[in-house]
Amino acid sequence: MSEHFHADFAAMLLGGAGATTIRTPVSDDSLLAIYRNNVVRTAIEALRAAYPTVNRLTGDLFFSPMAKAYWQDHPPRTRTLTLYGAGFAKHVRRYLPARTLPYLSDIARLDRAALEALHAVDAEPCRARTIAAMLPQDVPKLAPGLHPSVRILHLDWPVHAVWKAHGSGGEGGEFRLAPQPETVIVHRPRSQVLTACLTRATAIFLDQLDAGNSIETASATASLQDPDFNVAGAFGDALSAGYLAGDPI
Amino acid sequence: MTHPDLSPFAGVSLKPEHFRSALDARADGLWFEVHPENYMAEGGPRLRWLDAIRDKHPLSLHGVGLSLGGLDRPDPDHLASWARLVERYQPVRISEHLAWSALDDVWFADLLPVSMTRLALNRFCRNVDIMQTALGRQVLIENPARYLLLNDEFDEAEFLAEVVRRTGCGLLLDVNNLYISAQNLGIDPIAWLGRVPHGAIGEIHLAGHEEDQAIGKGLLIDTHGADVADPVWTLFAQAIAVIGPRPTLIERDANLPPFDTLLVERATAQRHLDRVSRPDPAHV
Repeated sequence: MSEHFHADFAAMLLGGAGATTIRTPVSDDSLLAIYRNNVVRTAIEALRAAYPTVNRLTGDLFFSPMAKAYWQDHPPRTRTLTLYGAGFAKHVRRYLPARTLPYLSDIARLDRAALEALHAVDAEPCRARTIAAMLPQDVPKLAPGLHPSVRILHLDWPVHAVWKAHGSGGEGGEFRLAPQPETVIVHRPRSQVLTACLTRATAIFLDQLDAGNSIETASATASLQDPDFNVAGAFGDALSAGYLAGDPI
Repeated sequence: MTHPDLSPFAGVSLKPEHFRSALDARADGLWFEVHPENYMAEGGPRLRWLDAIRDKHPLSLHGVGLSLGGLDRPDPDHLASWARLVERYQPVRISEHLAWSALDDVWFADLLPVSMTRLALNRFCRNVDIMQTALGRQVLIENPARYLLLNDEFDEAEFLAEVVRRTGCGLLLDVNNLYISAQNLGIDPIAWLGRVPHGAIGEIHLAGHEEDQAIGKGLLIDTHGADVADPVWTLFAQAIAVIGPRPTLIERDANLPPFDTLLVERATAQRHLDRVSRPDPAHV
């Protein structure tokens, strides 16, 4: 009897079916609904917390059923809700009622990157004095890698400014967007999550470093995209922003 | 956790919104409790806030995800994360629930009811053993808020007493859950208290509840989103008169009031505890 209990109860939670599937003396569906409502509500609130800008742009009433639909297809599979909802941006893109907000999925990607950066392992980024202590001819051969919190997003819509304006602390406001590629870097060198737009060439440079390439290899690849790519400037910016992993030597 | 001449202390749930207030708080004996599941990320400011708060105040870890009442053994990765947190924060107490929350690899993130059969008892004891062995510590098991009767072969107090006997675990008496279950199922809470081993009770929880409006028959739901209700204070006073004073937590997860409001409730709990520890000679 009890072997079926968990499976039947789980089926009731996931499928919303009535008490008839539970092989126990329970006959009151409204009591079982307490558990079902709790489970769904917990997942929705976790997604709302993880995707605050999406929620702010759509409002709670629109967000909740969208989140519930995600939960039905992707219930949590790890025992912590902190990073629940990895596939939510993809879900938003496919969610029919959101088709009038084609940029919303990119907003979700930014929310996700910020969440991952917030909870990424704490690490000291590469310090300027470390590089300054090197022989100049050794620097191009260096393959520093990127700080573990870095996420680089290639977006279809230029949503960075909108995302910042409608995040917590932003003033909101009206906006109009036309589709245009935009690259954004998200990272957390210390306590705060920071974001910035990147040129395509700088993004290629950093992606190359992330793949383990040296500065000179990364620069060469970036220059294919943009012959005017300035490696010294890009490297200097990356160093001062804290994009590079610490202890590169 | 207690000075020989003092009563046990009361504590409060710690939420990120209150990190700064918690760090600055100076109340004597104040301790905090968190869900370890909220601190299982690889890094981030939250972990370091907890380091700083733990440096000043004792910490209790109250798990919600290990699913000890489930069919499966505790998830090894989850246990490993637990062990890392125990190592890092050196909590004064650790606890989990008489409940399940996962089946196969789906986690429901809620405390689901255990059908208290003999098979369920064996499995639950097996899982408590695994948890205690992995963490090298005694675990306190919390009684759940119950909304419906299942196919039980034991009554709840009996079941818990048996778990204590077999595993050496302790108990976390949630007075709000006992009150809710008593109201919803017609259980006698004083009789329930009489049947659990008092010496095993290592902590008490007090929390708020609300009526389920949808059901509309006075069904009480354990929301942790309201002040502790008067009848729960009464049951708390009765409980500690019977079992003695214990470290007591004001458990608040939702509708967070200002931190100072939690400290006021905490002070009320502390007064109850002090009264039992050092009864007024005029009333003896």
